[in-house]
Amino acid sequence: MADTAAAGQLEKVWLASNDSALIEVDRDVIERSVLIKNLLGDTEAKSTKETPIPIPNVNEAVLRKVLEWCEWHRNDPPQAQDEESDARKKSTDIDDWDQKFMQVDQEMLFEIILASNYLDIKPLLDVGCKTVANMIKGKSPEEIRKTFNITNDFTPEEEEQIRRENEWAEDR
Amino acid sequence: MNRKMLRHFFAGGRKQPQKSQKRNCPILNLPVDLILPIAEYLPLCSQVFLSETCRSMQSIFVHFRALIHISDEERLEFLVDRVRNLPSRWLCEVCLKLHQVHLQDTPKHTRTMTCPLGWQQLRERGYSLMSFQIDHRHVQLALKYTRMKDVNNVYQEYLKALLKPVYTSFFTHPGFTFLLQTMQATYPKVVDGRYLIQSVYSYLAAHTAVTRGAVGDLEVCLHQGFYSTWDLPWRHSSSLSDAMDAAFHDIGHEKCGSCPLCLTDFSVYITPERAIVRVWQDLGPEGSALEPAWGTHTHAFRSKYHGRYVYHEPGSIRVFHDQGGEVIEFGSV
Repeated sequence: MADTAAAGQLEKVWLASNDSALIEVDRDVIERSVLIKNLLGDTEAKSTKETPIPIPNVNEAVLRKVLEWCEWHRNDPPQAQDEESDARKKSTDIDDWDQKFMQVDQEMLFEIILASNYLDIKPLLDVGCKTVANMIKGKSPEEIRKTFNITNDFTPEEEEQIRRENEWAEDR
Repeated sequence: MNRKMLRHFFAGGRKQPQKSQKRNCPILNLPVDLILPIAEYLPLCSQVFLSETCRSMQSIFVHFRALIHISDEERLEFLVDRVRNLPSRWLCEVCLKLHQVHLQDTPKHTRTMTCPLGWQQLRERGYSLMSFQIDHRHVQLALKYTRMKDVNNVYQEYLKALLKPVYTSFFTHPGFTFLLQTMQATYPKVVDGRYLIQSVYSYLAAHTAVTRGAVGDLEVCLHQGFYSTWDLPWRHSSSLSDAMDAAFHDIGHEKCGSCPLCLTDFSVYITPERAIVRVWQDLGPEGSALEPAWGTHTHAFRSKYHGRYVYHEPGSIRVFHDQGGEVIEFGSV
């Protein structure tokens, strides 16, 4: 078991981003991605510099960022299979390292979410979703618009409709 | 709201955001299937607010607009978020509605309070007449206006009125002429986003000397009482009565104590001329009447914390009140 683990750490995998960058990574690091893990498990062929695994939906900058996360979390225990776990869902707490990791511009933040979804890295997807949720929490609609550069495209009639729908909560 | 319900709500709204909005707006570039897991981390109110930002979000959250199936507790949490940025409204924990703020409604003068139930009904149904002098709306409004420092000046003036001391005097048993009058001063204060009060109960020697029997009865929280007139068997010994006894035996030296069940510290100081009981209490952070700190201080019927306890390091509320820092909570049961 230990030998296998040691051998696994030494084994390298080559990835190709959608902008043709070649990136070498330890196999156990990229195996945080369930997509790549299954791919490597299903095939005998080894990825090399000449035959890298293509990652068609992710550019180099985002891929390197995702790999930085995988590297830091390479020894994390596998996540519980119970996806519906309430405890996991309720808390928006993010550990310090992940919080710092997610201090990026919004374009990169949403690219990380898209990449983690594509590569099937659930814990990273969770961190991304929690980060966005924390940016929304406690804000009014106008503040959310400002935060995410959303244009208010409601017509005055639609605005009035929303106002009427909210009347139940307030005294007139 | 559980995941199944969320999926149910989302089932009819699987449209992609409109293209005109997508440019320069990364969140609208996410597929709907990825907005769903983000929404699962949001309280209901934030989900509704998100749906009110633009037509694309509204189409995604279309079914969230029907809020008829939520529990009272969820409704309260929803309204806490909604009222957060509305300076002109306060959340009524009994009606579950946002009432208009009345600028003359303060802890000292509650007659202009705007709940249609009236002050007495609100108190009885909210947290019983026997609880605090301070109403929860004054706590929530003081904390909100302190947070919203740049809000309209009118509300900043109102905040000053909300935090003014309240003075009152009474006899615990008006027919008992051997008792001294109780003079109570309550000083509200906001420290680091928490609402604190210091209450000072003074008894001055007058027609009778300051003795244990002349002080009468005093309850400083739901759990700490001192009874010199009606020391009934079920009124078991408390930290407060121990401190009172110690102070009467050691005139001129302050005796300190705290409630092991709620966020209350106190001290007792006796001289031949006067008895002074000081009480420091933490009523909690901004939020609803469901906040544990508030719930443990009151007979709040809706609060899941009513009948439960919050522990703290004895003396830490006094220090927090006087010097800032933090109340050291040990947790709650």
